[in-house]
Amino acid sequence: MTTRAPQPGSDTPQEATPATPAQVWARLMAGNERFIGDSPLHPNQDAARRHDLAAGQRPVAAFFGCSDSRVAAEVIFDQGLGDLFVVRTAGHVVGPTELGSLEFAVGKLDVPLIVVLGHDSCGAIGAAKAAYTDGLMPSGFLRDLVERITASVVAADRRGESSVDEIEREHVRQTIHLLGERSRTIAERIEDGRLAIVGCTYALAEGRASRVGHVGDLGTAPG
Amino acid sequence: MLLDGNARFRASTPHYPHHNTSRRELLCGGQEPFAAIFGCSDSRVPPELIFDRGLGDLFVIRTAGHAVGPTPLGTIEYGVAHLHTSILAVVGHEACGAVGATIATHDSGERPPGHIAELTDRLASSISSARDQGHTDTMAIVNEHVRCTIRQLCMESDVVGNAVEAGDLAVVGLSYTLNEGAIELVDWIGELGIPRVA
Repeated sequence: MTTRAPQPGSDTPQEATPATPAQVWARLMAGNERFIGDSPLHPNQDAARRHDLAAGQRPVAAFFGCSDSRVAAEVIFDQGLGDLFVVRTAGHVVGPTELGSLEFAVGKLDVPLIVVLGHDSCGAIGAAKAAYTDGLMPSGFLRDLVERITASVVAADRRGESSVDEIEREHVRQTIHLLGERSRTIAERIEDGRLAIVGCTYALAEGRASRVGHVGDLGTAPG
Repeated sequence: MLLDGNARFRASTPHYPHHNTSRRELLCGGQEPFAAIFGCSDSRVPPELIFDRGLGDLFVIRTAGHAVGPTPLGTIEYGVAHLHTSILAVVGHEACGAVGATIATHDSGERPPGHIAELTDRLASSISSARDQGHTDTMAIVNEHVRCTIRQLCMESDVVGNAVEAGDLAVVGLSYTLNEGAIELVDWIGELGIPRVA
């Protein structure tokens, strides 16, 4: 990993492109620390970067996160254009389009890391918890979200965990395993060490993303 | 607000609004985004950057090629029904890989492996529609996919369709060029307060 500090607005790449899941995770944790400390670099966001990327993208990681407006991956990990391939649904709920999108990132763009990003006070988790408690399913396509979160609500409940944030942690853990179970492309790459999946939860107040689990080889990566 | 932010981004003079600790603390009680954005997962098209917005501003749904399935629809309905966003913007972009893969499938008849076919199957009708109209330029095909997507959202989701009919929501189709970083208004459904040009 390079240690040269890039200048904000510079057209030079932020860092040498990290190759392993552990290196990518370290780069992301450094970006999150900058965000927490109100000292973001806003890397890779100018016209020169746009020009470089017009020929193609080579993101360092794929993110699978919540649609919540407070949890923008590029902002909270201080990354720029071309850095993160981002899939977002409410409560990072997995459906066929999300699997297809993540397989595109892994199979076509060769990203070495998928980060599943949950957060505290998640509205989708809250809706699933309410449906489980009341026995009333929401109407419309909201039901498709709630159904896909309910397994996490039940698993947490069996351990005596019932707060939205406890359920969310369980849901992140379930999601990182579900991706490999559903996708052969993802499972094969985890198996041969080319891909890891990290699950984290983001604390809205502090701004910190904390690791709650991972699948695949992350080495001795911190965080 | 979206177009103002894009103009700042294009000129490389972003304000980076709402990126700091005080904004984080303010938002702990809840979110009140002013727009829902349904865009592509492509790393070159992050809505928060290309519209120069920050935390709490945009409720964002992203799949490759803004492919519509039950989970994006459920998420969009959450944004419209629970967060009451008045705008739902679909953002397509130049050189979209999912659109490219669907064109290749359309022309070769060969379905891609695994779940990537979930994307190309869902984009197929947009590509057919573009081809039926004689479009060969990829940007024209992207724009047609944006048009098809805004119609699809209104038709498939009662929540979206009813909100548009009630005048509470406009569904806007936008497309983005990679080099210029420019957003173009492609089409819209609902009341946007601007005249339509023929």
